[in-house]
Amino acid sequence: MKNSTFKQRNRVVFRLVLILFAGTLLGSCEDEFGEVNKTKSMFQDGTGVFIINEGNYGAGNGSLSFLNFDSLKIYNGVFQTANNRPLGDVPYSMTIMNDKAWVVVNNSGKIEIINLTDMKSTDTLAGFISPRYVLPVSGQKVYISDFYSDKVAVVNPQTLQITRQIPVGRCSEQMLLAENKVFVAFWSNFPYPSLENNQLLIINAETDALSDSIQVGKEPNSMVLDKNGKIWVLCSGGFMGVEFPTLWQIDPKSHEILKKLTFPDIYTSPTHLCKNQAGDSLFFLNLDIFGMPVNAANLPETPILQSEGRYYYSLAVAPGTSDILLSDAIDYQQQGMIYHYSAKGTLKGSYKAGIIPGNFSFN
Amino acid sequence: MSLNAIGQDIFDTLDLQGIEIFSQRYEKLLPQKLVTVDSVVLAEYFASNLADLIAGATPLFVKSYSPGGLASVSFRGTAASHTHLIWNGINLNSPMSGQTDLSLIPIFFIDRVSISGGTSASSTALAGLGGNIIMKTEADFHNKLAIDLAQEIGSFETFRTFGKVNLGNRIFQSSTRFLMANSENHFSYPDNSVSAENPPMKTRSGASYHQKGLLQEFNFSAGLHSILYAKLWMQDDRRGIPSNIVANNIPENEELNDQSVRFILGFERKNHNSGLIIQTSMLNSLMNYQNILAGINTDNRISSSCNFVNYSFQGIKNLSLAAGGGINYHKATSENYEKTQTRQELNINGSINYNLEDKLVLQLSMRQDFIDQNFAPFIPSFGFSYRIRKASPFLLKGSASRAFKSPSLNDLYWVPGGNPDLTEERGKNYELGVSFSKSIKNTLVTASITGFYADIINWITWQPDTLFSYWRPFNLRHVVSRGLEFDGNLASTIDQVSWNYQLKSTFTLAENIAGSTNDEFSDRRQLVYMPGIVVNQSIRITWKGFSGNYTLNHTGKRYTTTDNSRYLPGYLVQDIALSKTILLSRSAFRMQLNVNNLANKYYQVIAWQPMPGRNFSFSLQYRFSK
Repeated sequence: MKNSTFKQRNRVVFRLVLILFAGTLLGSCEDEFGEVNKTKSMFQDGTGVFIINEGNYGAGNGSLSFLNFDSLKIYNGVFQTANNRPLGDVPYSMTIMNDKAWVVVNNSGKIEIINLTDMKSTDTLAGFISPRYVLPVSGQKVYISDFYSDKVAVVNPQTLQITRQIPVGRCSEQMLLAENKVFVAFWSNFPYPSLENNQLLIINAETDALSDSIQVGKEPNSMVLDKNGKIWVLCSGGFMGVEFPTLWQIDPKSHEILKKLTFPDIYTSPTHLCKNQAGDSLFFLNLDIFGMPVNAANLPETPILQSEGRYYYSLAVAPGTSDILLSDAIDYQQQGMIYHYSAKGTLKGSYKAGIIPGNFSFN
Repeated sequence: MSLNAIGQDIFDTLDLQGIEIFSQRYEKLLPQKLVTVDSVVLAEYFASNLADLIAGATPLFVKSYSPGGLASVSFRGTAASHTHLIWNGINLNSPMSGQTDLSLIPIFFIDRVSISGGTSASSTALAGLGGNIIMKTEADFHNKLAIDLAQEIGSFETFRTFGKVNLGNRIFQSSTRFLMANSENHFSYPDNSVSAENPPMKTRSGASYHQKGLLQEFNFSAGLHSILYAKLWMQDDRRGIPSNIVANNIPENEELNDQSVRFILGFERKNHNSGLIIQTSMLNSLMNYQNILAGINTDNRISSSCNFVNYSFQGIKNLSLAAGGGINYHKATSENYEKTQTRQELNINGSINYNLEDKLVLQLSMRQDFIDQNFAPFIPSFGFSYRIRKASPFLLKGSASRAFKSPSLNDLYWVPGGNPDLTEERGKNYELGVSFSKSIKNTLVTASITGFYADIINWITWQPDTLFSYWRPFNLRHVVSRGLEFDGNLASTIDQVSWNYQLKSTFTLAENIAGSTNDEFSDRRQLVYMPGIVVNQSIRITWKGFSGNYTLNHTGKRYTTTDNSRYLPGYLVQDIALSKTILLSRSAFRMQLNVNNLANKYYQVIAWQPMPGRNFSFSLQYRFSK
């Protein structure tokens, strides 16, 4: 009798345990298993700027945002919303060609070609190692620079095939087309420590052959073409102050150096050289935001916009309005901020974008 | 020795209740919570590594890239470097990275694993800011000859071979263990980087792992209560590191090779009222990392010597005293350092215990460390355990302590980025708990609930430098972590059937308290990769040499960004282990079948790093004992 009471009790306990198990099983029936981005939204077409959020290298959390200038609303994760998959690992730059945008996804070794109206991917170009920038050269040719490859790839935008690889013997970064030549910045010698990363390589856009090079400062990080058809190159001076940062003006015809302006502080690292639509003013980021006319004899001493304690990651100047767009990656592990200023320096708005907002692309 | 006793010696599964009671008695009067992994569980996990054991059998979150891949543990809301892995009294965390990779620790090489919070759980090695995993190997002087051979075959071309020979008498014991493990690790996973709705199945590549290891121990009984011991542990691990599934997966691009040689020489003397332990050790490791694409092939070498002495004395009424000191020296060479970097650690520690039979324990301990001849923060710790009445099933425990963690050598000297201006991370830890243990009818009921609170300042975080945009460590964050831990256990035997149910869970709220001025969005947010809830349940039934264990692990949502704007959903993993032991006169055979991830649920512990679905392993073990 006593023994059977034991057994009954045990049965009760046993059932209780089963109920607990069942509860846990039912309570956590989640079928989704991928990373959820709570901030993504549907793309709304309009005039504005795309923000290429790099995300953390190796974390697959890069994304694409769009700031609509008319509604002053930001739309995040627009690629993922439209395509139901992530954009990739470290989306880095974006180039608009006709009604399509080419988004270079660096650590995914690919380029996503997307419809500007609905953000749907129409094609994915693979076969790159570590692509950085896209430069349309002609109706038949698009150049793709690459960090880990020692070649610049040539893609036919009609067939979307890689038609040629131009050997340059080092990594290639930003590119600029002038006088039917492509000027390619040799920005980092990380994969090629024996080479000096202080050159512009010049490729003949007709023959796709490397024809010349120009020595500039260490780490040429950005380039623009001014209203007079002259190239401006901003060099940060190398990693941790190897040399003084410099700004160069170059004649794309003769490859002659017209100007070399040296920054006064070796422990600064100016980046993001931009111009206004007219091409008569230059802008760059050097903790604060600086601007200068292209005919200035010296570098500006006072900023046009103070950083106000923020550490900006990226800068762009809107064509037309000359509005200033800045990004702040904060701790690099959360949604970065976009600050939108008028050309006169009045704050028009601030927005949360994706993780590590980097390059901007105006539509 | 009777047949039954041999059986118990060989496979502890047979007397479940006895083991439970033994481990309860061992730990119950310590003020800090100390959880010892059951020997039954260790036997079930003999072919696995520490990462799998902690993930499968405890309510701790293991951040694992893939099976066999890099794995670290989070304890009470702290970072991987805040849990110290202590092997026979020495801290195995790398002085370079500050962390250990739990997947490199084979369970076959360990006899006992305990997990603790609080600072004074180990007096020989500096305790972690969050917690400690304490591993030991033990000698049995009753042994004459014991042989243990095992072979495991598992999914994804996984083969593991194990061998152990213990040989000796009452004076001298030799123990030799070796293992060899190889896995192609090419599991299938749904690729949600292609489509979240209809992910195509793909095969993981570049994740293979290969392990070889040898552990040799000599124990010499010098006199009645004295043991002289030597331990040599050599291991070689080669692993592929696959990139995340979003990135360009260039096959076989990244590889991590770890080689280590650890040698301990020690002397231990214990009698009824005093104990002395003196130990010296040499640890050498080589970590080679290769990345073909980035042109990296780099060697990181570490040589360490860790030495300590500890003396304890009992017998002045209810008081017992302990005092000790240690001196460690680390030397690290890396292509990422400007020069060979060294660190010297010196410590003195002491504790006083008041023990009133089975009623009250008070413990006060102090520790002072000197790092490179500089004073490190002083670490006091106070704890108590109290039973209201004798033989009451309730026991109240509490402790308060300080802790610190020096910046790792990489934090200080890595080129580029190392920041020599870093200071120690400092923590204050508090815990309070009540435990219950009672045999009700024929069911042993044990339960404990523990609340913890940790406040850590100067928390080191790497983020890009404001000037040159390269990643540097800073003493940036202030973290407050609090939570509850629950452990419940029911065990009973009816006729010849023993059953046991365990429910262990942790609830953790680990928040960042505004790090920098413009970082308000991460203020008071849960830390990244810190699940708020982890629940571990298991039910085990044993009958006549058969044993079945079913475990259910639920890990809650983990945020992946500091502003909590992104997260990974929680996951539930169910595992089954079935075994049968056949006892012959002096030997025993054991067969074990494991079905892991029974429900074939796909999940990612780390974003875009897939884990395998349902998989199997089968092992055959032979033991001989004389």
